[in-house]
Amino acid sequence: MAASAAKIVVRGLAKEFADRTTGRAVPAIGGLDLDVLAREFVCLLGPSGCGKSTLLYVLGGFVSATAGTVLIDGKPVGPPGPDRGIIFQEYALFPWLTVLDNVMYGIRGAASPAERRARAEALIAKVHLNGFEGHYPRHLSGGMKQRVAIARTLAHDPDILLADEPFGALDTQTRTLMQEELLRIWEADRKTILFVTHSVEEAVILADRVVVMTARPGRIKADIAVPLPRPRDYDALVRDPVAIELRAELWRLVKEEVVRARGAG
Amino acid sequence: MNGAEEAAGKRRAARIGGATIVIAVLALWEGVSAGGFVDEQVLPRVTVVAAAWWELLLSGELPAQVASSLGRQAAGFSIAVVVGVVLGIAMARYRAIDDFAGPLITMILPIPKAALIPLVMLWFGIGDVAKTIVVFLGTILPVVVSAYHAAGSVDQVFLWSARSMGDNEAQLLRRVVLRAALPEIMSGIRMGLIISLIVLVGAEMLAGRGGIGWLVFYTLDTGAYRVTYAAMLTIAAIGFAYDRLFLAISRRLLHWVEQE
Ligand SMILES: Nc1ncnc2c1ncn2[C@@H]1O[C@H](COP(=O)(O)OP(=O)(O)OP(=O)(O)O)[C@@H](O)[C@H]1O
Ligand SMILES: [Mg+2]
Repeated sequence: MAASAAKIVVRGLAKEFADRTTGRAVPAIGGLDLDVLAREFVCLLGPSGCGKSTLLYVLGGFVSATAGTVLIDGKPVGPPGPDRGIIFQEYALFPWLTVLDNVMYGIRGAASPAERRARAEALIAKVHLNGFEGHYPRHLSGGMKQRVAIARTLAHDPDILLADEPFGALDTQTRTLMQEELLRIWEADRKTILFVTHSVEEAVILADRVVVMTARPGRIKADIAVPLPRPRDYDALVRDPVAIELRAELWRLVKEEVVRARGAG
Repeated sequence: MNGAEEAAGKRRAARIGGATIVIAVLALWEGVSAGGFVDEQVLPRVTVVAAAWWELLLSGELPAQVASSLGRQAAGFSIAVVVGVVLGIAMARYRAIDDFAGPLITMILPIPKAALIPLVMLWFGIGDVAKTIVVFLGTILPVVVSAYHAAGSVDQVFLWSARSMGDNEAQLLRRVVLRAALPEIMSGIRMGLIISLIVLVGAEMLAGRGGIGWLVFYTLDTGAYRVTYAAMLTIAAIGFAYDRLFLAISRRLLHWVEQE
């Protein structure tokens, strides 16, 4: 096979966990192939427990694969580093640091403290949190926390953004707002994004491509391009026939696997 | 009245109540002793004890004994805090260190700390070194245990976030593990602080000269009970002041924790 030019190349990825009580090997991912191009926005859909988080953790370097190859820029994936930013569903902000210090955490290198601070402040402005620099995470709402998490991840300027259901815990309105903001940020500075979600609507609004995973052990079930123009218009997308058709198709695919996952469990 | 004001009001009322109880106990003590219900030798009046305390203070005897006690306590306690935090975190993070130090600590843990005093005396004599070691041993166990537990249960997403933002192991330990573990470590230290005072006074009573514990024991022997009481009240006051100081420091360090 010729070397792929994709930013992320996954071939035959398998991951087994040892069952905590029996010690038996439980397959979480079973032979997964995936390519993500540079600057592409890919959403990952699939039933609960199919290995979506595990795939992100392998790409992030937090968890090692049982079998298969994972290449980033043609090189085997290394330990966690600032080239890959990760956003978790539960925000993962450091509660002992202020908003400003959280965002400054990952800014390093030769820059002077003043420069680092200015950069962090610019990012905080970008996610509309001016005036909250001195606040601690416990005083922020869920949406605000997730904005800080986004700013903190952008601060170390990763090539690749791995997002694990970042808006899953937000209410619908906040969630829509956050999707708009993420798109705006991404459209201005396109990073490669792999974005896990449970929401078919969210996937259609955000992605260039939607990848649907099978029930555990996860493989790729379907890989569907989203032929909707950018910048995306929210209100138009609600009634857009292509979007409606796509949502129905994705929902059918996911549902099949949810039913299968239930049968197996 | 809003909720915060109401809570503050309740706390103020509770504090006044607490102070009232202390005053009531002292008044009862005075009454029992002055009324001749007990031998005034065994339970001197509060006012007599206070006078003895004042005299002891002016003569320089009390400050000297307190200083000698607190010197040992401070040395043993601070070494134990530093060693305990480092050891606990290292055990939580590195399997080899856990395997090495774990069994010893698990063995010593259930022994009543006062039972260590004679052993240490046997090995290290009755001087300052032995007493400092006693304080060290009494303090370090709760500190190690809390640091070990806290560092072992740091939320994985914190560790992973820090790693992905470029932290190396040393930065991770200092900037995330220590910070995340601090609330639990502080309660271990508070426990260690209380135990350190108990075992110190115990060790001073058992052997050697000098220190506030020695003063209690010595005056008990010579029959100067009013001084015994004065010294005991001093110990109680030191314990109270230490705990308050500790809470103030703790509140500053942990201001980011949700507090009711
Ligand atoms: N550390 C672990 N030890 C044992 N089993 C694990 C571990 N992590 C994940 N698993 C198992 O691997 C499978 C895949 O888990 P994963 O968290 O990747 O699923 P997911 O697709 O992200 O699910 P969800 O949508 O609910 O977040 C699950 O069956 C899970 O129980
Ligand atoms: Mg998951």
